[in-house]
Amino acid sequence: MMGWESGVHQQSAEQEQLRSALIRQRSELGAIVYQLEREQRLVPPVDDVQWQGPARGAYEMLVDRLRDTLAASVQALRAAERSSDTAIATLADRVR
Amino acid sequence: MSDDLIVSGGGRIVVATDELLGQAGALVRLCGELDTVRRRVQLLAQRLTIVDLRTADAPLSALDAEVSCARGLALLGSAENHARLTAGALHTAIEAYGRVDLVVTEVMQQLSARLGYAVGFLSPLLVLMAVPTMTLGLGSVLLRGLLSGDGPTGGFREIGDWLSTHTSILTNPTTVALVRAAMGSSDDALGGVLHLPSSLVSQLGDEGVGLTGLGTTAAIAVLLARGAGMLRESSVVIHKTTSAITTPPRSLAERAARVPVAGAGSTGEQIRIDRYPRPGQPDAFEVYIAGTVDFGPVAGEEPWDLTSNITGIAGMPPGSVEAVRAAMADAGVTAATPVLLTGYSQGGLVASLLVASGDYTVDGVVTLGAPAGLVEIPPDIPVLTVRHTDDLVPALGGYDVNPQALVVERQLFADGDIPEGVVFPAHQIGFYTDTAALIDDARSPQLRDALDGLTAFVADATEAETSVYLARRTVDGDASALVSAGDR
Repeated sequence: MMGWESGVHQQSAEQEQLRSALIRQRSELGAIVYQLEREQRLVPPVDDVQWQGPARGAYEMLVDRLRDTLAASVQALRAAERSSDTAIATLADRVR
Repeated sequence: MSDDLIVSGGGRIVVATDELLGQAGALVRLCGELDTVRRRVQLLAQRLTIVDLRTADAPLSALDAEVSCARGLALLGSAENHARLTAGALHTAIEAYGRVDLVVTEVMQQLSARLGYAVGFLSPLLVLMAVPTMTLGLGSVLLRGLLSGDGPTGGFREIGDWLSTHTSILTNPTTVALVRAAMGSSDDALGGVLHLPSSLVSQLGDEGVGLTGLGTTAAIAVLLARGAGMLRESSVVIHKTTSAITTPPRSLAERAARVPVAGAGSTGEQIRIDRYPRPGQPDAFEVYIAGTVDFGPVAGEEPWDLTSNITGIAGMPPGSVEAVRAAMADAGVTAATPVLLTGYSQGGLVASLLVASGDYTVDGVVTLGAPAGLVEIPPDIPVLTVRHTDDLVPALGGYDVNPQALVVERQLFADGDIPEGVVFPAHQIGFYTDTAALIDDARSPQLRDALDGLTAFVADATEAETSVYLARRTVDGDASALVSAGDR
């Protein structure tokens, strides 16, 4: 009986530890997403370029691709943030 | 009115708009920032692995978080690569344009030199051919003046009036480029007139060892003109008219606004010197120098005249330079005190000549619409050259010879809306102050670095002791009731 109880306690402690790690991860992800959103502003607006011809077309394509990839990485990290939130809530229910 | 700034020089083969250079700078910064973020996400992903989560019986959402994190990490790596690629492509495009621009300028210099030599060589014949046309033209101008009742000079006044109402001819980047080419090839034309071998002329000139150039032609013009009573230099006296406590400038526009306006409607002072006391260190000084006031070929009382302009271009000491030297000495500038000079038009030429003399500890020089391109400045001294591509005056100084000079150009009337009533509208100091304000807002790293250098010069200063000076030529030894600074 004692062994079962200690097993439950150990599992509960592990779950609590995991929950704390996920809370830290979530907080860190929030800060990273905030920083990335700020850095998205560094991607140049191509409309402002007083420049014509194929070189402009190529530059525009590269900037568009950069902007899209950056937006996709922000989305992925936001999804990680949301999933961390859900996991934290699930673990809280389990510990209770 | 166009707000686009073209930035070139600064020791690099780069010619681009400030906007484009700003974008290149932002992309390089983005690469660095993305690298930092990617490392943070990488550390995060290493802290909780999927294997750890499975062992700890973590909820599926925790596993989803790790999968999203890994995806974000991969995308961040890809974004960083895209940013590097884009920044690299943009730099390559800018440098390629710069190289083409350099080659075009060199070709234009060589072509104009050859054309100049040919024109000089054939000048006797050309003059002979032009005599009938010139006689007719001159005759009709004189006749028109006499018929209109204005006297013989009335016709010339009409030409001036016509030019001031047809400013598009003089206020045109093509005209400016042609004038710059003509000034640059004036020594070749002179060689042609003297029938010297063309190979010798080009070897001695700007395209060769640079022994002769616009300065040589200007020097010969000065010597010839002096024989006819024109362009004669004289000694100068200065008089401090104002002393006041002011604040240091915080921008380039503020510096441009401090350049004295010595023309009509002003009290005539041409020099302003701000002294920044620095406890425990030598005082620092900023010198602001006005533009040309008198365009007449015969020197009068005003040292900021055509005589000083041409004498300065000829590399000889003009009265305006001597006046600024005297004012600087009066204000306390020594060979050891740090100085920053800002000059407009002739003031820029004067500032450049003072820097080139090597007599001062110069932290930088700013020229606004100055014909100072050929004044050689030591390579360790930062130079910020601001000019309008539709302003003819800076073109009179020929091609730039200082590779370290950061040149900012703006086509003021790109929309064709040129104001009438002024012969050189793009040369007005007010427009240069506007351009300076645009430079203050510039984003390109090259310009930001240059502006940071100016800001650093006054970083510790909270107040300035301002002195304003009026200079006058001593015509025939008469000091015209002015008191020399040395006499007070």
